[in-house]
Amino acid sequence: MKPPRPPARIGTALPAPADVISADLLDGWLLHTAALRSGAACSLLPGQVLMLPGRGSGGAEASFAHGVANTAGVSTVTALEDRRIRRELLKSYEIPAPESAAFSVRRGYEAALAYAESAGWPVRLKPVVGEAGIEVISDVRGPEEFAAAFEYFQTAPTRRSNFTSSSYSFTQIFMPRGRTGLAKPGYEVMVEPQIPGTKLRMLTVDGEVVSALHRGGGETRYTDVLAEIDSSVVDLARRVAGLFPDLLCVSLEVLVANPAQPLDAQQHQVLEVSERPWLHVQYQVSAQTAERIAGRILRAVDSTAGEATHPIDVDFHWEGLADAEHELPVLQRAAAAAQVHCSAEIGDDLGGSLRGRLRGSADAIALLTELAVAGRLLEDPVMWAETTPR
Amino acid sequence: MRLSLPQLRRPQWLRVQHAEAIAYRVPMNLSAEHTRRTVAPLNYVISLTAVTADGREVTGLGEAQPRVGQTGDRHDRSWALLDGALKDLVGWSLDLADPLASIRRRTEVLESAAGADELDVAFRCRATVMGIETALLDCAAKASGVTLADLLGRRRISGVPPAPAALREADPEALESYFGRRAKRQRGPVRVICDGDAPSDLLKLEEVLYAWGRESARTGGQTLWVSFRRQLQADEARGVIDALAKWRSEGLAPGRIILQNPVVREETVALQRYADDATAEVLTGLDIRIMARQSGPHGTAELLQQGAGVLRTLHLRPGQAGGLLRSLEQAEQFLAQNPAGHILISQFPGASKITRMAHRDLAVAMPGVQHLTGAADVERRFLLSSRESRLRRSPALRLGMGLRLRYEALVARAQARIFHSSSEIAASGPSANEYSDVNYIAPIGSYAVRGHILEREALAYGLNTVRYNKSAFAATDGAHPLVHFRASRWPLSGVVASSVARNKEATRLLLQRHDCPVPQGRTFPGGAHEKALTYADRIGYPVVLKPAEGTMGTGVTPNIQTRSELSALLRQLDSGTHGSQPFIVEKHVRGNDYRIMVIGDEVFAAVERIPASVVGDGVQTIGQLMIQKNMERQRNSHLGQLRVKFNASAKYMLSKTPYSITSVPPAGERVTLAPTNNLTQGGDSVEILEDLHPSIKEASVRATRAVPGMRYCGVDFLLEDHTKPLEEQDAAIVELNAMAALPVAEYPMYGTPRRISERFMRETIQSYGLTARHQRAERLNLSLQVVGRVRDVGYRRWLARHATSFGLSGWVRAAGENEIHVQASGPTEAVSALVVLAVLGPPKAIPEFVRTEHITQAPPDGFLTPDLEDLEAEDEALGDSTEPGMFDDGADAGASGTDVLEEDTA
Repeated sequence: MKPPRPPARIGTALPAPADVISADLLDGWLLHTAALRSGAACSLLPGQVLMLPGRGSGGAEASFAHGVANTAGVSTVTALEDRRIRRELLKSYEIPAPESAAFSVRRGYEAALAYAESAGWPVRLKPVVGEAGIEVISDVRGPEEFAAAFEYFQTAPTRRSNFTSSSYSFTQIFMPRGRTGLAKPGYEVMVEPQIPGTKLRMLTVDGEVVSALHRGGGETRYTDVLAEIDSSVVDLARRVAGLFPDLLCVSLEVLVANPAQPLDAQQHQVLEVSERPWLHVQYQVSAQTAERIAGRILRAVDSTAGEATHPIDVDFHWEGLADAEHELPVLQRAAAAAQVHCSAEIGDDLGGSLRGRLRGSADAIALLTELAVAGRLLEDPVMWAETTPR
Repeated sequence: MRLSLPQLRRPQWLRVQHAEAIAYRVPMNLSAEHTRRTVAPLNYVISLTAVTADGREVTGLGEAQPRVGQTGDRHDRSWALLDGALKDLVGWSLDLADPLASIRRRTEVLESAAGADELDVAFRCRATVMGIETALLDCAAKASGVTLADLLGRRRISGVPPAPAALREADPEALESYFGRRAKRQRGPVRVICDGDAPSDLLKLEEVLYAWGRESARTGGQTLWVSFRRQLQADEARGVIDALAKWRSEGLAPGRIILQNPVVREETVALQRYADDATAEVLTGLDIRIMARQSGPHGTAELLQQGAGVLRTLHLRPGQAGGLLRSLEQAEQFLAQNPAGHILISQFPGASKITRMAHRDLAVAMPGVQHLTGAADVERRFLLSSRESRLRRSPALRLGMGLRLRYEALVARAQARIFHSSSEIAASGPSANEYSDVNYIAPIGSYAVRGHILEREALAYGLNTVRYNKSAFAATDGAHPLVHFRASRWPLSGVVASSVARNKEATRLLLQRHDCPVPQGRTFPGGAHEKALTYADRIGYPVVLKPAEGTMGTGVTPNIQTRSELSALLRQLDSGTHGSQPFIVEKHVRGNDYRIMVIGDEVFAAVERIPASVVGDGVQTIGQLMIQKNMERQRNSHLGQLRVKFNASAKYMLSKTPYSITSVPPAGERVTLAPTNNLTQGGDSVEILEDLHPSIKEASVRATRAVPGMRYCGVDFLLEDHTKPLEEQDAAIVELNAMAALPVAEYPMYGTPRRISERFMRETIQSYGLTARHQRAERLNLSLQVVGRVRDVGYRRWLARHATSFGLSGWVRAAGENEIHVQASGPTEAVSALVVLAVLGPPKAIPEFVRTEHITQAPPDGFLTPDLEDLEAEDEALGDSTEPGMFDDGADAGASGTDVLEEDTA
């Protein structure tokens, strides 16, 4: 059984405290970096909301949340996050998806076990509602492992250390029932019998496949196979993306024996579909490619975005701090450690803000800003971080 | 005899001033292992307030347990009878010189008003008649200064022993330990439940007797009581009697045996004769009494006639017999024929203390009563009544039944209410809106309305849909990919909008940048109490405290006046469900609370939200006014089940006034019962778009446009006066809601409803270029494909009942192991509501999705179930049947798990 793990900590090439970023924050960071490199003024808000005034079509504002363009409708992403709905959707468009059944975490254990046993081991367990790929427990073999896996989901999501969700996602179902810490009634787990195959991750931007990564049987690392995948595989990705015309990016995880071979000759299943690019996998194969894709995503929204040279020179204004005086030296130390030149002063103290100038690489400045707003740089989270090119 | 203290003077008469009835669902433990019912039954509690000749006020209580098939009651019929009866009672005088005769005359009038039919030959609505009768008796007893038992004619001093609890142990070891625990001296009967399967019943009895015999010194003077769940054939029953006689002669069985319901009623007398013959031959003496099932007045009369001189035990259930006085008559008739006879009095399951007390007093007044069954199945915490007086609490001293009604217990539970009064009650303010779809919406529940109305519009505009659960569905024109919706989430608002709106601090900073009025405030990390208190000192009190990511108004405390109050609330916040989470302290802005709903560049609807409150009328208590308010709210498709409650908030608000739940506020005075304006907490919505000042509209639109991609927004605006310009008042935008509930605009309590869901759908159709109708259809003709666990769970029957009660034509039939097909045709509101019902299903069903398409085939007349021959099997699966539409509150509709996933502010 593969136990669940927290979102991976991805190593950046930067000095501490900018040396590591959590996988679920990476997309937003790469977009932010691309935006700064393009010379855009950026405003970052909690939930990785990135606003670029004047950079959208017709001079409107371009914006992203976790690297997801604002064209994505709230109801579309919600449908994707509900695996039951996603399963029915794929099925109705004749796209192969795993057979599965959903069970109440509080009362469905017996039925779930019976299903697993009749479907055959190994099986996979995942939350019915949640981000693609998060907290999937796979290779569950036998009743004992099943019991342990099932029990894992009984704690409410917000109390599980491996849990993460997007800032536009559901909230209530993830919160605990009262003070028990248990998942609410209505929280369900999906059981999927596993078929043999290897994992293929693809990403489409504007319907075009821009990334294809494959992890062969027994391997731990992904390799770039964009040049090798069969056209039927590309077709599959496009078809899935076509189901969600308002999503700029669609990332999918496909189970297939050999992605270089036509799909009609082999068993294949679409395991996960997400509106988020999840570039962390690509980043670990080739950071450069990931950054390039981020630039592509940016340009899909802002066709004028170019690539500035490093380093950048910007003014910054960080608002919403509870105690700006206390935070100022913390910022200065962090900037220095990350090799970013920083001159800062306290803005209006009642409003709790810091302002000043930063000079350094775009990715380091973006990362410091992301960490600040995520509450992982200073003692308190920053509520609004504005970065303006000088 | 009588035990009550003698009264110096007794008034000559009493006159009824107010008459009230409240229907409520009995809170029962439906998940108890041995329970087979799936729906709790309904009771009516009746309260009559009268004034005596010497100016005293007394209130008499009664309770009706209407049970279809046994008491001849049916909700619509009984409720109408009750309404007429109570109206006629107001102003009526009861002669206290001979109260029983006076009351008897009155009930006779009711009996003839109730009418009779084939099934209920004597008279219908017997439980209702009993409820009224009990209330009258209680009134008379209280006015006369005696207990109810004395009024009825007390025959014994102490109460009647309760019937023994059934022995549930099955295997020999458990039986041994049961009898081991039972005190050797205990003389009460041992009661065993048998299933009506002769061989296994005999086996069980034998085991019980062996175990009993081993533990007790002798079973001689004791009684065995056998209750049969299902009836035996006559010859099987005779076999049981033979076996018992044999065991008695072997010394195994006790000398007295009661067999309850062993055979159908018609066979009872013959079986008793057989038993007497069989026991005559047993030397050690054996008395077997056959007790027939309780029945209505006609059934009992027949039984008494057939069994004259033979029958030695009678089971009376006053609710079924038609009242306390009728029961007394039947008892007297029975004992005249059988002076040594025994009587068992029982009540229906789900009896509150009012019913139990009435039975207790009846038992004391009735001759020959040996046992009285209690009701242990009602939730203990449910206290419908309480003692009227602490001093007069013994059975000898209490007046009437000594109970008074606790309205607290009924506020949230009342399903219907009747109130007639001799006083003039002026209507306070405008009457609430009535909605034509309220009966279609009630069964789907208040949460599902949010998702339902968008699908209704999609279907009305000719789109086909797929519904996944009560919140989520997708629509298509067949040419474009499915467009998704969930509650008030739609594809035209972007993820950024949702994310920004959720973070109140980010929203505030954004609005400030766009020159929108916002309250001065700041977010603090969890636990930062000192910083927060310092900040509050700086901005000045009063302040508001709220969780930074709270929803639905929970945890929000406005108008905090002092540092110590804030400090206490901060500590409370830490220990609440939100735990040590970020919170906001901001300046309290004076003003009324408005939800202004913006679509694109236009304010589409504006609603003022008023905290849950009641307005006095000088006659009714606050408890009564709350129930009246909830009844008014029931007419609202959205707010119907979101009742005004008597919870901790209400108690807190009342504590700040001179009133309690039993106070009568003066006419016109408004009493506020909640600290927040939330509609889901019982608040009222008043639609005011026409009067909204343009400057306020402009600010609302500007606020919405400030958030990227927010095509729809519910702006929470605090305003002193919505008709005046913004500059001339204290005003602030408190919150932006990306997923504001649409029903707030469509179903306001007062004012003009606005069909915002239609606007949503038209915009979606336009944005996606979908092929759709130009105009909204008022009628729909749809085919539904329901997939999931929908076979052998009573689904077709359940759906057909709802479709019929909605007045739809069409049919429902099975179409495979996991599939059911439906055609439904009728008004748009009704047919679209059925689609939501289809995805909910009855309790045991688990539908996975419902695919809906427009069709042209003409439907049949009425709603048919062509493949349901075996209706009994379906009914069996359903358990107790209730009539849909009447008092339906979505309680019996199932729900697929992941339906309520997130906040949806209203």
